[in-house]
Amino acid sequence: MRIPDSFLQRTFMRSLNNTKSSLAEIQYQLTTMKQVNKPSDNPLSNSRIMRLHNHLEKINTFKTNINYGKSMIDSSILSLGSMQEAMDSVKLELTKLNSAVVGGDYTTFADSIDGSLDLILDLANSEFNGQYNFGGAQNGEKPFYYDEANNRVVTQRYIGGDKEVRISETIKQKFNVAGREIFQSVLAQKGNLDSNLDIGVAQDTSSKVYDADGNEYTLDMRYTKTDDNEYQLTYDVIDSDNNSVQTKTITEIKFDSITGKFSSIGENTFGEIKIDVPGNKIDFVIDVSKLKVLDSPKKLNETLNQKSNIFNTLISIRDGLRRGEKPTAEQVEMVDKFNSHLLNNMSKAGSISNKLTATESVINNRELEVTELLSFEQDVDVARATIELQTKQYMLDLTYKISSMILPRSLLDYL
Amino acid sequence: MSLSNLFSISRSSLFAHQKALAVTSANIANANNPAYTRQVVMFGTATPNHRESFSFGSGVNVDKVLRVRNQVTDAQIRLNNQSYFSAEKQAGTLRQVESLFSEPTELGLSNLMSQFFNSWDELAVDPHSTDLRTNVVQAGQKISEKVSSIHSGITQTKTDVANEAKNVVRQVNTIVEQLHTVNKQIYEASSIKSFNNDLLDKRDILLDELSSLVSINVSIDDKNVANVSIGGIFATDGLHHVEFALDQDGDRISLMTKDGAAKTRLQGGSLKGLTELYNKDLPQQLKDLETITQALMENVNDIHSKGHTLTDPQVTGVNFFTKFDKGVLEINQDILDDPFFVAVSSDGADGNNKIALEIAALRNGKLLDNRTLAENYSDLVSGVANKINLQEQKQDSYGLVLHQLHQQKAEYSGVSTDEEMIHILEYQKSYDAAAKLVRVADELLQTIISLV
Repeated sequence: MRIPDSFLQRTFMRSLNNTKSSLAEIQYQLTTMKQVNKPSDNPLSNSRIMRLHNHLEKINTFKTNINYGKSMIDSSILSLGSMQEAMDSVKLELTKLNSAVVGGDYTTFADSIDGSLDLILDLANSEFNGQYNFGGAQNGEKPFYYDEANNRVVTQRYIGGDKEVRISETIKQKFNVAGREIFQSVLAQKGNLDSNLDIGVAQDTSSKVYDADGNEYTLDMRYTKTDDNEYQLTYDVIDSDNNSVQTKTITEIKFDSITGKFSSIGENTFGEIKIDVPGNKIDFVIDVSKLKVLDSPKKLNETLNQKSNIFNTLISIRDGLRRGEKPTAEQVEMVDKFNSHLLNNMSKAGSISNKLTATESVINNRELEVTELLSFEQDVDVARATIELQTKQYMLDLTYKISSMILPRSLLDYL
Repeated sequence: MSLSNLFSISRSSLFAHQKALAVTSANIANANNPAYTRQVVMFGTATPNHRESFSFGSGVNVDKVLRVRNQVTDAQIRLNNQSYFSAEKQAGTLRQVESLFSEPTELGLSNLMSQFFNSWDELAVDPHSTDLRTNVVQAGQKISEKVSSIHSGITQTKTDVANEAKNVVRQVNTIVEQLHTVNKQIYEASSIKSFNNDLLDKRDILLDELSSLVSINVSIDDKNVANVSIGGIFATDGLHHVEFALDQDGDRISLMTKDGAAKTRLQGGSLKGLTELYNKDLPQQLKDLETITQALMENVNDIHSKGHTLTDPQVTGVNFFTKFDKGVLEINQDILDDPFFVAVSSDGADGNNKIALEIAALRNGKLLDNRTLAENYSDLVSGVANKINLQEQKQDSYGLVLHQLHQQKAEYSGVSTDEEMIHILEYQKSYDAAAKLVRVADELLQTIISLV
């Protein structure tokens, strides 16, 4: 075999280039501390890294959401706790009123109830990060205010609706306690309207509702079909003497043509019909959002969460005391019921807070796992890379040394 | 045989070894010239003199100067050149495209899309927040900028590829013309039986160069003239040569004869790599990017337009992205001017976040070919990466074969200074011996003259 000069040079250059290129690669890995710096370094690992990066980003968002949700629900719990203390104070005053030693002037009691009322109203309007804790889905506006002209607390607008955040790939968690759940008297309409009825044919239902003093009224409701998937509701509030207090017709109650679910009332998509008769201290809402239109009708029925708006009940008690009248048994019962209602809602809010805490813990563990996986895919094994670097460096030095010894030599050196 | 024959024989030896030394010197001088093929002097016995029944040698001749070359290795080098340079061009260009994606870093589109969907999830928590709304808009802008940067980068690469292809065609034409000239010179030299080794070297180096640019077929005729065709189309011989041009037909490029009569079918060479990139790889990558961006825009808009803004008065039917055209993804100017045009609420309630949650859920939606956008994008990036790996592997393997072939060629044709030094010693000694013979002949002649 002939070994010409270029043969040695070519072999030397190729080996040198190979060694230097692998040396450069290890050096780059060590300076970036990553073994995959571009997709072509390892396409499969790159796909995994991108996926794991996205996963970590999502986890960070979930953690941010959980922290925010937890802060808000904890703020609500705090307000509910204070409210509960104020209600305890109201209950204490009512108990004192029933004792034998108390007589005649109830002004002190009225002032005390008034103080508690102010506090509860203030707490009902409490904020977290510029949002009203009990404002429902529309929590940018103050939910309750005192209407001096009519001497009552008015609910500004729709204060229902859940606020939800995504706290994992599949779980959306509610993180608010809507004011409607606590303070409003809500008559939830249930059952299905019959889709087979002819236009103009009506379905009737009736329920009991109450004013702020606990007096009972009859609410007659008539749903008349006006078009396919469209109805009108005519309601009549009748007092115990059989007099109509308020009658009204609500039109354009629309349902989805495919699912039969409630769709809207005119522009309103909340499904809430507010019934407000200030003269009779009547203030409640009919919730038709769960009503459906199906060809398998279920009997219409209603559920009332509480008899009256607690603010107006307290106003009524306070005003009665100022007039020297003791609260009625119905009013005391309404206060008791509200107190239990408050406790139930605190418990629900507590369980939301616990769930968020538990999810946060799971997510933290998941974050650790994903970070570990990402590190495995992406990070360089420093010990291995350093040893490889030393080996390659040694090889390079050796190549230089040998080349300096051999390459320049030829027969010419000895002639 | 006369005494003067001794002078004649000596002279032939002196001349022959002088020529041999010249060839050896040329070999040594070109030891580091890769285009040079080592030459070997072939000595031949001069025609002997016949006297009576005897035959007397009349000296030595240089029969020919042989160019040591292996045609099979040459053909293999040209063949592998085509594959090597095609792979090298594709790998190099695709590496540029790969860098446009900035993966796997936080600046990559994968991460930016994730941030965009996450920003909706975060906005769902507090739909009133101007900061979170601005965050959504900025996340959208980042996607828009990145898509635009990748799109314009690939488009620019495509333009560069077309320009480079034009340059390659110019080089091809120059080489073909040079080959034609060298072919003619070789033909003329062979017809007067002149040594034309340097011309053959020049021809071979031109063929090697040409094979790195385009796929060629070469046949050498008995006059050592190379008949060359490019991609199946005649290019040159000793009499004619053809000029080529790059044909740009819409979104495709190809190599044609300048008169448009014939289209080549390239199998290799850097021009093959460039046409593959221009006609296939780069348009496909652009198309994939456009499809993903279009799907993102349509799906986000479908949901966003159903929502209510938080402006006064509230508006519905607002698109988040207004259009995607020529790689530019435009965000609604109203949203850019006022983040409260971002629709988060499904029913108009200012705290309702259903739209934000729905858009955030698009992250996991099978929006394209029953796969998520992230998966589709990952396929696009992996496709580029795999193609680079494939071409780099080809480049490595053809590079190794080429290295071995060049070593084989060096074994045959390379100059070894050791070997040449030994030749010099040999020829020097022979030259010395011939000179000595002249002196001996001279002494003999002097002896005869002194007798007279």
